[in-house]
Amino acid sequence: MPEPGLRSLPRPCRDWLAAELAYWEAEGLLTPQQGEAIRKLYRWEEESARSRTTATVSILGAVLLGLGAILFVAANWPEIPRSWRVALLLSATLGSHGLGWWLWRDQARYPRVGHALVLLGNLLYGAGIWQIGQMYHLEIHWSAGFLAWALGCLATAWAAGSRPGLAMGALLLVAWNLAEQMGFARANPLLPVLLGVVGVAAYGLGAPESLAVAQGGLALWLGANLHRWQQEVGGGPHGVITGLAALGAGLLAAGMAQELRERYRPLAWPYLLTGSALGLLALFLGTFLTPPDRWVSEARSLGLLAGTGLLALGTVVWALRQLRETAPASWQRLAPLAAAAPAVLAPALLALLPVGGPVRIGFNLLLLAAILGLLAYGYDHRNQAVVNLALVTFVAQVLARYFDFFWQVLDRSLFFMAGGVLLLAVGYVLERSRRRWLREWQGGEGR
Amino acid sequence: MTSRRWFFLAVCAQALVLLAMVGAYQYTLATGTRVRVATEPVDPWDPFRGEYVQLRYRISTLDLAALGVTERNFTRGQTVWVVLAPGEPDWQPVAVATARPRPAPGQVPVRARVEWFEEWTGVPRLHLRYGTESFFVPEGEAAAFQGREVVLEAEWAVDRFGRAVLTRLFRNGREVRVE
Repeated sequence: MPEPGLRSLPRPCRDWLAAELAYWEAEGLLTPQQGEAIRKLYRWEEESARSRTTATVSILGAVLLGLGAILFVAANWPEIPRSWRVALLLSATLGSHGLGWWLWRDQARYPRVGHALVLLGNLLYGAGIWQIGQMYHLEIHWSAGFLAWALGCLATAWAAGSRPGLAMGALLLVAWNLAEQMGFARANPLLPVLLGVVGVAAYGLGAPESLAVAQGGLALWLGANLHRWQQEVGGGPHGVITGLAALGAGLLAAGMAQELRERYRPLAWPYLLTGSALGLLALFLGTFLTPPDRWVSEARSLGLLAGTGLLALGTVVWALRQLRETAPASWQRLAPLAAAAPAVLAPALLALLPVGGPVRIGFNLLLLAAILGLLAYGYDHRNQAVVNLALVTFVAQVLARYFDFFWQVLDRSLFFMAGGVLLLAVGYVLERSRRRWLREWQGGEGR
Repeated sequence: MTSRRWFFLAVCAQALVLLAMVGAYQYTLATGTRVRVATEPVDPWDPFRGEYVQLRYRISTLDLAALGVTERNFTRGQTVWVVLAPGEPDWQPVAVATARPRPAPGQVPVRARVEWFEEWTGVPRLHLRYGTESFFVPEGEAAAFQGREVVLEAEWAVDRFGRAVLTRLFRNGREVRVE
């Protein structure tokens, strides 16, 4: 986490501010003392290009060594007795961890190489799990190997404060879940709990990338379970789509709330991106739904949907409270909440709508509201990724509706020509708006 | 506790996991009853673990009607118990139960996991996995375990918890080194 009291800035803003401060001082607009006082407000530490290269090379080296170990395992080594192989695996794992810790923390002279060795220790630990499974011909419930690997990785990552280690553990949890859900057809209720632990650790270590992996894993887990339960009770994919829309809205609202607090702002982007992408995709898919002949009728599915909706609603309420405490409400600031709210209410609204056309119309309206809300939010917060996501969805929506309405009505050649003109026009307007926004955000010439 | 101690504990936990995997196997090997079963092989490859022979046992598919089992409510992933009795040359299933059975003297209950239950053919069949289906071999040697002329038999050790581990494999009556 960033140091309390220090404000963080994205790198381009930091570079811009540093250059401008020097200019203002040179022009006599600020005294050096005032310039220094402003500089002290922000976090300026930045890895040099050299140390970044060292870190990249070291981590790549660790990954290559780990992959080599796994492939060596795959190639089998029948000549060495089992006991020697186990001893070799254990000593390689423990040695890599020990040497890594010594270089990283005890010596503190080669922290990046040491950190890479700790990562290598985690890769060797995973190789050890599969190698022992191979040596002893163990195969029952093989997915547990991923779980053991993930837990070991998470434990060392937390103890050593390793962000890449945490991301690796989160990825392994997602792999474990995929194996459980696809290989063994299990609901895997333990996953959200473990991803929650990853979330807590990510806040502790200030690791947004692990949050992004955890949120992606949670979306996969929820989607697969809703799909399975929906298949059990029959009916269409409405439960899956509304559930994912609600999760997306919840994440989005949580991200927006975190943007309002300086302390949590560096961790807001995974929520904003995952939430936007998930919510927009789910609502977009919802616009293709044929009228449902049967709504989610099973208690488990309803409970899960209601739980997701309530969680999302709770985060919106929290966001509103944050808003009241931190700044006077403005229409621009309320716009994202207005965009999130319909998606949060999607399950309830769609459950109440009569079957037939209103369901599709409802999804179209929700999607348009979400796109407009995200555009307003992205523009207000200068978040290019959110704006781009909303624009891409808007183009996809225009195309999809164009196909819906005109495929049967127009002659084919006219259909394609009109479609081409429409796309060019939409593209021109969007690109012009986007460039104007970028120019305004950067305070200079847009590209 | 310092982060150094936490890290030390986490690394020790990793070592314990690896040792526990070995220990569980050695326990079954040391205490288990030896059971010989017939197989039907195929030969896949696992990206994490290399080349192996996928063993399919004759007792991997059980005809429930022939065993006199009336239970039909099986779900994928469910644990069941298969009671094996000595036969000549291979051990044969004599009962299937969803709870641990009390076997007759000389019989051995083995834990298995339901892969799927088949009833649509008119014959109720239960497809099972015992966790001993993978026999890892050095790279390039899996082909020697293929073909109609190859007859494979396996020997398991089954401990008192019903856990089976593969102890020996016989190709055309001759033992293949398991290690």
